[in-house]
Amino acid sequence: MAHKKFSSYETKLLFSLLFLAAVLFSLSLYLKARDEVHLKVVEGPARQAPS
Amino acid sequence: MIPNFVRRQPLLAAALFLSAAIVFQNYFLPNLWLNRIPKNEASYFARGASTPVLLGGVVVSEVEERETFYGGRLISFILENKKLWRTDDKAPQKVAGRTKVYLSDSAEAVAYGDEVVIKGELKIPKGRRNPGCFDKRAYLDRQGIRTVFYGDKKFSPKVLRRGRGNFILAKAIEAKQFLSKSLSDEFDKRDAGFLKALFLGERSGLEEEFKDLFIKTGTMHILAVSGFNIGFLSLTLFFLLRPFPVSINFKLCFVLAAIWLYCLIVGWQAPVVRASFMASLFILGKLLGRKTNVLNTLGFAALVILMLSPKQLFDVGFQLSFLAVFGIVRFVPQFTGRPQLLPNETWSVKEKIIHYLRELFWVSFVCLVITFPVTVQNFYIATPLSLAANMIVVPVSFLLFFTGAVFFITFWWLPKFLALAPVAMKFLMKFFTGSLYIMENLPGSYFIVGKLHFILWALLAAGIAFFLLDRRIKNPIARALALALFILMVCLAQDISRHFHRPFRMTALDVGQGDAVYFEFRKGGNMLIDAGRGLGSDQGRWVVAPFLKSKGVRTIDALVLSHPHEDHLGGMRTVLNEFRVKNFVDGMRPYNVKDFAVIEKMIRGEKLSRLSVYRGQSLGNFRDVKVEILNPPHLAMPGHDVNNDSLVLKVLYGGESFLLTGDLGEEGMADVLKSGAPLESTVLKVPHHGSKLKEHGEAFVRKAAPRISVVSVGEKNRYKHPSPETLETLNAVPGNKVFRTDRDTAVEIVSDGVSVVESGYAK
Repeated sequence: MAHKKFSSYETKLLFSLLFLAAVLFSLSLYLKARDEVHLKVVEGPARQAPS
Repeated sequence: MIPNFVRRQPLLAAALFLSAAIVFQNYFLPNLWLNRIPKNEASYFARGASTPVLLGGVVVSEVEERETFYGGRLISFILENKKLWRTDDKAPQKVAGRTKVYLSDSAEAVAYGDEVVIKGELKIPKGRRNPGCFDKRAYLDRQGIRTVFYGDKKFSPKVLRRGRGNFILAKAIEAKQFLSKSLSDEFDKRDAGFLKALFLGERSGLEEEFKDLFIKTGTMHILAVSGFNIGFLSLTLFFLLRPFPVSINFKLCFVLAAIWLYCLIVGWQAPVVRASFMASLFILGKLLGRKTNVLNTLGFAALVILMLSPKQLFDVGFQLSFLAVFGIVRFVPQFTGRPQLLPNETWSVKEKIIHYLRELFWVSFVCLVITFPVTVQNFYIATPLSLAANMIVVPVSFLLFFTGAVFFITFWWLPKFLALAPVAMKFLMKFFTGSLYIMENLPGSYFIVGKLHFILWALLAAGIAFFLLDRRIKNPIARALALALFILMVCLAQDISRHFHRPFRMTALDVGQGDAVYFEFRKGGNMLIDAGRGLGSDQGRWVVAPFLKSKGVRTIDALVLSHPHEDHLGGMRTVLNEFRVKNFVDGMRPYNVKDFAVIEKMIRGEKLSRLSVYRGQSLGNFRDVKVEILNPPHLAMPGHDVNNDSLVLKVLYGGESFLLTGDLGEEGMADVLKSGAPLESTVLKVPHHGSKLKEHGEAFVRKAAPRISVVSVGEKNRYKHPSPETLETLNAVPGNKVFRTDRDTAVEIVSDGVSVVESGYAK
């Protein structure tokens, strides 16, 4: 463990990765919320699928 | 001109070259080896044969025995084929190759080295029958076995001669059985099963749920007999030989012999052979006064194994074992900052403990990272908490090994009341399993990733290699963080990709005699209708869960139970345990069925939303799909059997529709017809596994007028489903294509709302 501090390359790399991971995480959360299904029982038949 | 890497580790370079050649041959010249299979190989006789045959040969493996769910015994072994009698032939034919034999309740005990004649069915093993599931044919093929044999229950195997096997192997098997029995006598079934796997590589006694615990906590390597065992065996032997006045060379030779004997006892699995080769080369180096290059010994072990059995390259055990050792040797030093694993002799005990814990952490981290591309493609999960689990499990296993060694040395002569080793082992086992159960239940201990697309997988492998090799990163914490963030990004990218290019797909899984149909919808949402049987062979565990995991499914929007019969609900226990089920949907009927009570308890325990539905209702809120309920009717019909109360669903997507009928019987079909329900459908899941249709059943099929019919049915089931008359009725529907899960395997149907494309998953 000779290197206690991060070098500038390491800092840049980690920040870039962190930024990308945060973007992907937000996108993943958004898509999950968008496609979330709250199922319920509806009275009466539904002969046609919704468009 | 020669790269430094090749000059320093020529054997490792040769092994990598051979691996690349094997991969090339496998994908571009897959039939290259077919010419080398002798023309009298048993697999040539097994193709298309369904009549019983007599097969003679020599037992060349240990005979494994296990209890079946129904209380019987099932024994299995590998037979070196010699002769084959077809029932219509009088003279035997010479046959070559090896066969995996399964016999039930054999009256005459069969053992390694026996020359036997057995009667039963010779078959080609089943390949992968469902997406994401185990491929038995490929697994056996890697061991050079191309046929399986299921013994006739009425015919006891005839032992012609005994002792035809290798003398040393016979003694090794006897020793293993002796040690195995000592563990069974001393410990309860679950603990004995675990200890047998740990010491003897015998996994048949391990309960499946217990095995899952190791997979989910990323500690499965403990159950694989590998370098850990070989290292510990060598250390123990050196320690025990210390007081003896013999030369160091003699001690080295003794340890060398013991390692290979142990390898024989535990049964020649890739990780232990790899470790034995490496240890042997290390010891030979010492004997000859030569310095050993560890990566080169690793390369040598790989070369020998691959030259003897090239297909081992595709074995998960082989891949994990070699990758982990390569990672430990090549990359751990750049995290710890030292080239050696052992601590400095002058350090205090505290310093040594800290050193070991730090080493252990980095070894676990490197193994987790470097094996991730293999584990995710085979087990479909990521286990971040395995780092913490290994910090507990590895030291405890080390103590278990030590107490185990004392147990094996003392159990046959020491009076029972003086034997402390079993007491210590039981205590360690409790601590061990208790810690793993806690780890498994911690949030985020493991999560389902799914099978990665090849591009994403290649990106993952390349990224891991880049961050491990990048010399600009000097700080080990920065390297570890970069790797962790990169893997997280790939997992997130996998999650995101599942929201795009997602077609409407129906998959009728091959769960034998039972039902399990999975729907995934284009604009989000999914639905699983039934989950196969659970008793005997749990289809939820072996088929439904791996299939869903391979697709990266974590949540099921609607788990639908068509009716409470074991072949439809048994597998739901696993599904409810392994996945987040948002809604449980069933028909509105009082179910006084024993099998259902367990599921009902789980639903209540997990506080699931339960939607009990009936004819005239529909399931709303799926974005692009409507699910209409056609059965059961609202009012109870006393005297009905449960089959007639089956939930009948019609899934509507665009202009296409899918009719799911559970096990609806004649009376139920008459009632649905009478109700005037719109049965016309593109796809029909044929009712009750294709049982015989009567007047109303035939009218039901004619009214449905499907273009595709799927019969979910088990091969050679005792009910003789599907009935020929039903198949005739189905085939009489103009333009109808009939699929059967027993012949066509899982059936996948993809639709864009205007047309459907169907396919049997594998042949």
